[in-house]
Amino acid sequence: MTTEAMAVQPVVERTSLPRRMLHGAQDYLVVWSLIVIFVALSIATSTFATPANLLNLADTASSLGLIAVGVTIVMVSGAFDLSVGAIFALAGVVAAETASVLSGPVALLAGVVTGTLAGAFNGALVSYARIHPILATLATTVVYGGVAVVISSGYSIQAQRADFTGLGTGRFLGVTYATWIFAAVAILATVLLRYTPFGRRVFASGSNPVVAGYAGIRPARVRFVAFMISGTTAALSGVLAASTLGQGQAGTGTGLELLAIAAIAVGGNSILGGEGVIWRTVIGVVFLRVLDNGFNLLGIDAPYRQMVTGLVIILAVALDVRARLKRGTLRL
Amino acid sequence: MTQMTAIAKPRAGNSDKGLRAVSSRFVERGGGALTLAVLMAAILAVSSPYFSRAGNLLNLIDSYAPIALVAAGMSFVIVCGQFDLSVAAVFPAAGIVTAELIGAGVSVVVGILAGMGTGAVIGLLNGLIVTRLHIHSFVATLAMSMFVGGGLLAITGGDIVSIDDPLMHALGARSQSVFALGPSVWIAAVVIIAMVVLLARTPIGTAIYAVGGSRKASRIAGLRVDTISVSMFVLSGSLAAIAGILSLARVSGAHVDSGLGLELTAITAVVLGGTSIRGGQGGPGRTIAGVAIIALLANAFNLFEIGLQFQQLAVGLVMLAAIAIDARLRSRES
Repeated sequence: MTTEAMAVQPVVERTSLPRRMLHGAQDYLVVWSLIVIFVALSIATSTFATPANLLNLADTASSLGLIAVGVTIVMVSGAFDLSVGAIFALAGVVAAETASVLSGPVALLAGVVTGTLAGAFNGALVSYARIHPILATLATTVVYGGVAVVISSGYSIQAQRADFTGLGTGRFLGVTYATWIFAAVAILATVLLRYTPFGRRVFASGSNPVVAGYAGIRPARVRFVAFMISGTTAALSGVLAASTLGQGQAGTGTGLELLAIAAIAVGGNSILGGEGVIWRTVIGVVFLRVLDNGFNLLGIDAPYRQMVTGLVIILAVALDVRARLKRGTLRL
Repeated sequence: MTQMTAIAKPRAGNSDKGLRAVSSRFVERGGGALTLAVLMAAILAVSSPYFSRAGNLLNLIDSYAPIALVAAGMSFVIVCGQFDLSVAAVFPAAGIVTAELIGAGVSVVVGILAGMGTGAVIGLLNGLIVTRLHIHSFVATLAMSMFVGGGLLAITGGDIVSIDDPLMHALGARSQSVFALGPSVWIAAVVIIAMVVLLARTPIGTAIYAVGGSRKASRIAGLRVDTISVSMFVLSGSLAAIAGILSLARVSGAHVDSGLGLELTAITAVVLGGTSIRGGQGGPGRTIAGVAIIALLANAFNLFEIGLQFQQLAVGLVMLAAIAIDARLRSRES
């Protein structure tokens, strides 16, 4: 099915971006929609297009974005990572707990390393114990969540020391550190996927693991690394959230994994593996966050926001699938 | 590529004798989960004087009957090669619709039918979105969950909708003894048995397995693949709705968040039971063994008064162990 389509297709199209945008307006529907919503909100409200709101928007997008970027890499490699929400919470709890005995920076690092290890464990289950990725990460979601509950005894752990909260509350040039970190991670991930041998191995593993194997690539090892990256970025997001709030709590990341998948799909990335670009994920994340922020500013109640978000996800993905079917980049 | 392997792979040596063949066939039919559940029950019975008391067992059956219904519906969707994350929203939706209607003076029967209809309609929409718009069921049912959840919040304002109706009280009556099980347990049991028979003993069941095994091959063979897929979502939605209504009858109230995490519990039960997440194999019968494992584990924590904070970790580790063993046995088989 998709594997055959991918095998004959070049992985990266080499034409320039503006040209491609003219060629396949439909393929870039989510981008145009985002621009339209952006302009509409700027006109409809006096509060949307203010620096303060946009910076706040960027900050909330960073939190989800960090997670979604990691998950994108796992998806491109042909797997699934549902445990990122649990890793988000676990990393925050570990960091907050460590902050009571060690210095803030060490505690934050401990949280991130926890995520890397959790990702490695996921990778080992999928690549070496050969457990289906959805199952493996569903189980580790429960396990990591359970570990977070055990560490915190179910309470929120306070970590109000200045060297801990500095990362989450600080700004550089008026922009939060979280936003800078997200921007850096997104650029790094783009470079990693597009311009490095590892990136090509990720695409090959996702589009056709058997052929990749003939070419001397070990898809199992590639996915293992992809899971480690995903665990690390989810933990980074969790640690930033813990640092912003000055506390870590089990259960905080619940649902983030599904929202990340929604963002990836809304941006127009395939969730079937073998294809995907980071900027689409970023667009998807920004799209969901702009929608939420816009409705908030328009005074629309949370329940209706949730309903519209659900509809928009279906609409966006449906239109994207249609466009791809027409262009032949997706075959059923 | 899963399709290819599904076509090419013969059924594990049915003609083989030998211990290994027998054991793998036992596992293939979901015997592993049943063994684990029986073992857990035996250990609990020996180590805790309270476990075997009628009150404890009946309470366990009462509280897990609705979950078993949801998990049975999920089994069908997964056998068919899809996921249904929207059960977490359908469960409270059916309860809230029924409660609101009864509260508005509509007769109980109409209220219950409307609640079930809500589940069926949501399932139908799921199915149509997946088959017509070609959206991955994971994303489609997740979006549906958000949509329905938002709608319920708008209707209820986040409050509990309570009912006080004699007929609903009767429906939600607790089990008195093994011979006088509550109506909700009977309903769940009858529905689940009907589902097991449907899948194992009818041509429809065979068609469902075929679609889950290989959509392409089923289409070539002339099966109405999309109709079957849509029906599975309708079935899952309906069962989740029945579960939601039974739960409403039991606790005399419904709340938006009452289904929180239910989708993952149901998938966990399906997997623990031994149904392959790749589709084409398994069924609701063995899922009940999976539900039993989850129920017994939770009960063990209560009986031994182990801190609640360890419960989630233990459930996760048992789940991990079960799927790791399953993956090993399967890979040895092929």
